[in-house]
Amino acid sequence: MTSTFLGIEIGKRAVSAHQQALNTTGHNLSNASTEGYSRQRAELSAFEPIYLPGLNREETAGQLGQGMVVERIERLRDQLLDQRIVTQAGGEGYWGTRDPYIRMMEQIYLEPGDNSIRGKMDAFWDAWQELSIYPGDIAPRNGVIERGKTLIDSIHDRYQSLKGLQDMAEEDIRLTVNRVNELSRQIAGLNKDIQKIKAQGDNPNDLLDRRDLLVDKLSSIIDVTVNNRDPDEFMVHTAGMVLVQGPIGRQFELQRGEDETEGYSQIVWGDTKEAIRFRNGSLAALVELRDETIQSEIQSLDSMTMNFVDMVNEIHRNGYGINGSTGQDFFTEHHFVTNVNGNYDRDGDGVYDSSYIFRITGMNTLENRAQVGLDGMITLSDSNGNIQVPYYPTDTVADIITRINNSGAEVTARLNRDGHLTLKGTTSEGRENPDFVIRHIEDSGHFLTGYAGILKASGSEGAFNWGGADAVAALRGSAADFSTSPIAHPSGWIEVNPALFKDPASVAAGFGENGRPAQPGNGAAALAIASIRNSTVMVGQQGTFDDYFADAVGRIGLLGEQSNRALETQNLVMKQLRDMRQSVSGVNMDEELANMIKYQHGYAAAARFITTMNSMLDTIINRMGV
Amino acid sequence: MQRIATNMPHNDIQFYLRRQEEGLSNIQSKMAEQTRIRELRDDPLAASHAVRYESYLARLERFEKNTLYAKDHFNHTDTYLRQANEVLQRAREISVQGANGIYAPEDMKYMAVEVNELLKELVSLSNALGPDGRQIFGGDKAFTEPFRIVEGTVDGGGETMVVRVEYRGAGATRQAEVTDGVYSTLDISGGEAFWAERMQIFSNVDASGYRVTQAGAFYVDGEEITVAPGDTIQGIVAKINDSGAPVKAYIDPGTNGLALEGTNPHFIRMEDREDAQVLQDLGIILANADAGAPNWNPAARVAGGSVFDMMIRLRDGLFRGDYDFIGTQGIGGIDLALNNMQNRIADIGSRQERAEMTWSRLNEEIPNVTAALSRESSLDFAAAATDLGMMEFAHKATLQTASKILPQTLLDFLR
Repeated sequence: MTSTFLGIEIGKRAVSAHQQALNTTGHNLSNASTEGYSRQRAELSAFEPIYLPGLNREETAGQLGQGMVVERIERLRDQLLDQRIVTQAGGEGYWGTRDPYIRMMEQIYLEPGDNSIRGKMDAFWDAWQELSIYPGDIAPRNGVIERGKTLIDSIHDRYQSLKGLQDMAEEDIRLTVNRVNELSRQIAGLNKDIQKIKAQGDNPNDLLDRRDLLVDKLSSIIDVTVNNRDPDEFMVHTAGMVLVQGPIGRQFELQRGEDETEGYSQIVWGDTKEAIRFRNGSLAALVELRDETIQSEIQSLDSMTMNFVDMVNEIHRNGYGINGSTGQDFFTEHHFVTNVNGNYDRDGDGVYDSSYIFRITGMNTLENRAQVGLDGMITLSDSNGNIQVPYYPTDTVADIITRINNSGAEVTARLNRDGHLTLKGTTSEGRENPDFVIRHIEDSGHFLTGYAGILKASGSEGAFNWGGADAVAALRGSAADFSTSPIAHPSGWIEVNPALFKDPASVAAGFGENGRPAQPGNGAAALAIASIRNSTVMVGQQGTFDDYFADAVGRIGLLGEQSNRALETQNLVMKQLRDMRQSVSGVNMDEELANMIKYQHGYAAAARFITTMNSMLDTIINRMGV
Repeated sequence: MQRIATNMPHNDIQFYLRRQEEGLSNIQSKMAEQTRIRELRDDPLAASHAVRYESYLARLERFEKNTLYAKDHFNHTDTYLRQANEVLQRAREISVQGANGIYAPEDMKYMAVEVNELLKELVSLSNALGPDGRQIFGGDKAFTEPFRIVEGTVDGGGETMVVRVEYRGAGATRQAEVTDGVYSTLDISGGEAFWAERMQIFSNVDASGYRVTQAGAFYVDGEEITVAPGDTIQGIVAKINDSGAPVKAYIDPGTNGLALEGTNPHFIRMEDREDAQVLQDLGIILANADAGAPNWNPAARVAGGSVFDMMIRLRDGLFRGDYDFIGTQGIGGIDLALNNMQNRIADIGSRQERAEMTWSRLNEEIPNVTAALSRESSLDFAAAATDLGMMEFAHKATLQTASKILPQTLLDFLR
């Protein structure tokens, strides 16, 4: 026999369940705009019916329903979609961080326009042209000095802007690493809470939402994967290692860099001190910007500056001012080592162990189109060790020079104004190698030895190698035929020679004749300097200054275009994914309002049912008149 | 059926409005700046072409300036040379008159006085200054008078007169770049323009047994000629003849000494390199003599004089009343001077013509390059304005749609 009050019990259950469902609807409506919130649903189900098989089963039609309850409150979430978003967000973070930096780099270039370094350099060459026509006057000399100063100022400016960007990236890396650490800590903390609540059998929906949001944020900073296979232990992996394991959140540290990284910090694991390299996300973008993109721009600027200064000085030193002065540099060169042979104590043990030589000039005058008639193998230093450049008897001098320049060696070759073969060190790709240092020259034949007059002897015993003191002993020329390496980043410190400011008459315009100072009407030196702009100068792999500037503009522009497009693509992909997630988890007001009406009616109906039950009981108790 | 969360239309509209606003502001600033490359990323390849064009244009403008300077300079030089030519013409008329033999010695003297005046005029023409304060005919010695006069007495002349004019100028090497790697020589030195005869120098030193003992070099007309130990006189002769200098060398059969002769009328400049003394040993020049002035060995025979030498010779002949001499050497000398002067005028004229041609080519090329530059980097205003119009339309439409769709919810209909 069923209980008299079963109906009231059913009604009560329904009323409270509908109230709960209404509360959930209210929760959803209030959190419609909360970041990371997923809508929740009260799962309604019928209460356990009676009777179960047994001896005390009543002989009546069964089973008899007992109304309904709220089984659980669930959040609606697509876990697979979450995984995809976590994987994809790294790309958005990467390009989203990279793009503004690239944009700032583009702005530094001030191209196209007269305010760029290129425009200033054009003005500089123009001033020399002017001097070549009026070689006896002071005014065009002042013009050359002033334009030289303006040019150097804009080179400094670009250097400092690039360096500033690099410092900014470094600062950004520090902040971002702190953020990653904070996220890792928070996720671990949430894991602990979630585990406790789950143990009680509840669904910690809001905490799960918060954890998912933190993982989303983390995934746009570094490349992470999420592993949820063990329900008790939520795991986050990065770069193949565990970052968060249940309640443990690992941390990163910044280690101050060595000289090789110019003092910039390196990211390491806090506990093992192992270096880590991220592949995606904003942190990877920042590290790549700092160590590669911006660094290579600075190197390229350095390389241009160094070659430019070296070549202008080379001619200027040979020319004469109208006051008869000669041998003066137009730009001040600061050498890395004061030792005339370029000897340097690299490991700091008190003994010279390397030779820092930037440029080596051969003794003999060569002709571009002459066939060398020799064969052999030239060995030069490159980014990973040495590279070999063969030459054959039918080659012309120009062929061999082209082959050296195209070989990828970190040494470039050209014939200077007098037809002497000049080898110069370039910037180096590996950070362990200093820029503008020739590390190895060797020739198995006689091109570099007897023909060009650079090395004394062929073969490995006659090779020039930087890894020892007095390496210049292997060279034929005297101290005038090689120059030692500059201190790092020449674009940051080069200046117009102050002696020229004091006396502009010292600016060389002409070449002397037979040891006599140049005649005041001789503008040959000025013309020779002006013609540098068109001659093959080999700034790294680029032949002329025009090539260099056009190439730099194209390179930066393409970087910008690439990051722009990639960012747009990533934004669209992420928008689609987020829309899909919203489609599953987002709150729809109409839906909630409809539910509200539904639950309201359900509530009203249940209440009505209780009233009905009540009146039935009233009938039995009060009206039956027992 | 896709479920639409209430926030989705909001997000959508935000996303698209942001994109549209970015596009609008981008095209607006492009229109304001009148460029289609506001940032390099807008068109990297066009930007890299544009910077080349910009540099090239800057260069062309410099070439234009150089060419204009060259043109003016040639004009100026030409004027002075023509003036000198006229003076020489007048001297020729006088010499023809003087060779007639019908004039009395007094008349001849008057003619001589006139020739003397013409000579002074020629000297002042040859020492003329250009508008920029440079000596026109000084070569690279821009601020030194190229011709120095030596005065003395002349038979029958009475007062002191010019007896010799020495060339003190240098070679002309000043050049202006008029096209990439193409140079135009600007000056003509006095030693070329004001010369009449081919200069000849005969050494008196027998060089048949001469051997160069150490490597060295000497300069003839500014050309460096290197010698190696063991070179004989024949070797040196061959080297001089192979060099670019307008000088022919040979061995004088009489003295077995070195002889040099200009291949055209000009002053031959000679000197040993600081560390050598080949020409000194061969008896051509004096040791330690100033290379900027006539420095030849007094024992060497030098023939072939300047325009001034010819004038002086004529004048002196007139003073002497020697019409025979005037009729032969006098007229002959002036003729040679005229001949060379006219050749030099033609030379300057052709340089001028070349500069003129370069200038007119530059005048075509500069607009062409400007056009190419603007094709790469300037904004197509019509296209930009149309784009802007379309974007504005789309923007307006989005806003309008947003205002219609967004506020409507079931809430509006629940009472």
